[in-house]
Amino acid sequence: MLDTGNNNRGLKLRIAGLLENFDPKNILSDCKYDWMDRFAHIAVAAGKLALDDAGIDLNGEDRRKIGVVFGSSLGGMHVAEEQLEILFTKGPKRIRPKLIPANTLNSAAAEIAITFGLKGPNLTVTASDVSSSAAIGLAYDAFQIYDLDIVIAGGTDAPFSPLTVKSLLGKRLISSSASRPFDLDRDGFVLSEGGALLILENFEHAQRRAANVYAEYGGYGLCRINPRMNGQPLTHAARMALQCSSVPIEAVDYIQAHGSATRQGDEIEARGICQLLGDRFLQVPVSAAKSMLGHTLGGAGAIDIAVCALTIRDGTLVPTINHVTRDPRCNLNLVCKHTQARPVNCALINAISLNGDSMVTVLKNSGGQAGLTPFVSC
Amino acid sequence: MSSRVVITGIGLVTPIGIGVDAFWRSCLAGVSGVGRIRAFNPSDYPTQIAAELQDFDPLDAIPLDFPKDLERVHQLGLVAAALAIADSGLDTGNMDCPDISVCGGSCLGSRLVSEERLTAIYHYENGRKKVPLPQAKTVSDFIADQYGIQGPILSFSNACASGNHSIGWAFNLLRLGKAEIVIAGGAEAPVLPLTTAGFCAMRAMSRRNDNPQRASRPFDRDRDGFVLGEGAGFMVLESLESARRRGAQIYAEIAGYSMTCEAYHMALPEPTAGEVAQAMEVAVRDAGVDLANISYINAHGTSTPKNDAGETMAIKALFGDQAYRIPISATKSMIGHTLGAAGAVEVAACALSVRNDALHPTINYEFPDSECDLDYVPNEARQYKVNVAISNSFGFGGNNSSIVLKKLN
Repeated sequence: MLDTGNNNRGLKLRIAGLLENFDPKNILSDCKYDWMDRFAHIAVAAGKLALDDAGIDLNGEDRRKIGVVFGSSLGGMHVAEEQLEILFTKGPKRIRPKLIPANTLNSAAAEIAITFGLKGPNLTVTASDVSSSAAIGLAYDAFQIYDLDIVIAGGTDAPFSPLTVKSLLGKRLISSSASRPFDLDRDGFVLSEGGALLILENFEHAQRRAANVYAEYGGYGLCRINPRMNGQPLTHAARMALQCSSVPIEAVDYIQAHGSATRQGDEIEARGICQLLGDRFLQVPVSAAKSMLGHTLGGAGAIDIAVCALTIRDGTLVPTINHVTRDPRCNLNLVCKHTQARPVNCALINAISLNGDSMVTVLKNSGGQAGLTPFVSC
Repeated sequence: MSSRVVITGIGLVTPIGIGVDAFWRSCLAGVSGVGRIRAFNPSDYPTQIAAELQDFDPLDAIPLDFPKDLERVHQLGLVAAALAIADSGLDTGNMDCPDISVCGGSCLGSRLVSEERLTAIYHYENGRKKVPLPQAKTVSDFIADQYGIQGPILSFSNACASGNHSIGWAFNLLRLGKAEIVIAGGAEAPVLPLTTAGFCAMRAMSRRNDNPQRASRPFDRDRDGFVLGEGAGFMVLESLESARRRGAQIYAEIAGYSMTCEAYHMALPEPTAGEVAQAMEVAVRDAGVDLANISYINAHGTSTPKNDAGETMAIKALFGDQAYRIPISATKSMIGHTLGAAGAVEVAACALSVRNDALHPTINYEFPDSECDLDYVPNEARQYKVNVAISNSFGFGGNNSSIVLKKLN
């Protein structure tokens, strides 16, 4: 998290999660970046890092069996704002041809496919703050339907262009101090840019190439309970996810919370977690990675899943920083201040959108067998 | 993966008709919905024509309790979904359950910050006037809100193939048993200054400003680009068991779906069109039907020089001599290119062909092109037995998709 005081790119934000000195060319030089917007730059770079991390040699792979499933909530806003200014000041004939290709939401998935020559299923899904979690879930579904070896799944968002920030500020949910999930004095989320792409791989394929495995993707639940119905969407989504993963709730030993640090959102989530865990609510540790990373909107879910995959691999729980004062309405076993060493066998990762969508992902410790190899870029 | 999936309701909001009957009547009559742009003054634009809905009032189409300040794309989508739900006979008082899902596609209308929203903020920041901000929601969100739908609410944005992917993914959710009923389709209202200027800059659109109704001419020798269109198409997709249980009408079965990627270029089609053939082949294989049984193809047929030649080449590569015997028509000849809605509207047109054994024409077909030498059902509708149909959609970024529909036996 950075103080934007000296380098706020014309944004009226005091703090923000900026990717400083990010240049995709440092990660992958041989790529046509001119026609891409920032969210796609981040995506292509993360895709390269994920493929390298997984040790995949594309030359030996059947490219039709490698897909991309991507989630983003905004798409290319930098080019949209720049060209809108030109439209109003210089007229429509001065608009650049890159506007539509760079602005469109599917440009990141398409550019990843073009860059790495991936001819399998290519899908872009958008569902506000759960976009990239949903993308990973749909990638998992794609394995059930299509004959696939690998899917690069995840998402990014790059919201730091002035009008877009202004538009998001209108929601009045953005913090003016710090990201402090579940703290009594939390005052909203801190906006960030970035995202994560994960390599999801078919079990046999991963075994065949002796892949380094982080965790097994168990399943997901995604639902929206009408607020008028007084339901608990998070608990419902979690039960769906656990059922899909064939795991009982008793087996869950860690939760990566959505914890975006909004007043109401954290309280509702904490209540949902308590309801779900029953009398174990003070035993199961909970962290909120957004305390360190801020809220990357559509990219956040994939980051949290990647963080959790690392947690499972290393048996290390990440802290929820900035947590000073306990909020009695958020009565959780929060991992505060410091990391905790603790093996994790089955974790839930929550993602919640302002529109009421709840997405819960289950990751299982496979003891190094089968699953996914992630990289986080933020 | 056992569930069979059927279409039990269709809702259409297009420049040539609102509702299934009005749309299909105009389709068979070969009506063009293209005219000079009315949404804004297009005088400074190289392309000044589009297919717009004239004097559209959502409340005329269907009495709904609409949220205030809905953007046009959301109005179109919500009305189309409401019409589809009414057409399917679903009990709207009983849709707030987790077995129902929404899959809505839009190229432009599914982003958190739309062109309208951005423009409103731009004007406000430049001290002009304060305008109410449209809500940061997608078409799918508004449909879910309207009916209290609680299953997965997803939006797909795969450029011009968004509508196909929404229907295709709804098909996937149903066959995986993740939903019983899905409200699926697409909506687009792209006739906006920045978007129009963007497509003009790509030189992708027709400049036949003096003769708008003749501008969208897929497969014709003198085609010079696509015509932007607005509209929406939504469908009620459900498992065959669910449809039979409630005694619903059935238009057609959705039998196969493909999504492939050319991995070639963001804005240019791959010149051999091999990947387009691949998209059709994978969908036909997914449907478990023989190529020899394909009765009809609803083409992507945008009216751009490259797309139509490439699509023709792909059909010939896949079908060989049989290609000359398969009738092919392009809905875009009448309603222009509705981007993220196009796939959905065209799957709906295909379903109507399957149900009615009738093919709508490709209008404005005047001059044969040596690169496009198949049967495009030129200018006149045709009675024709349609057992299995393919609907094609290809998007920027090489996002190709085909959907296969079957008559339910």
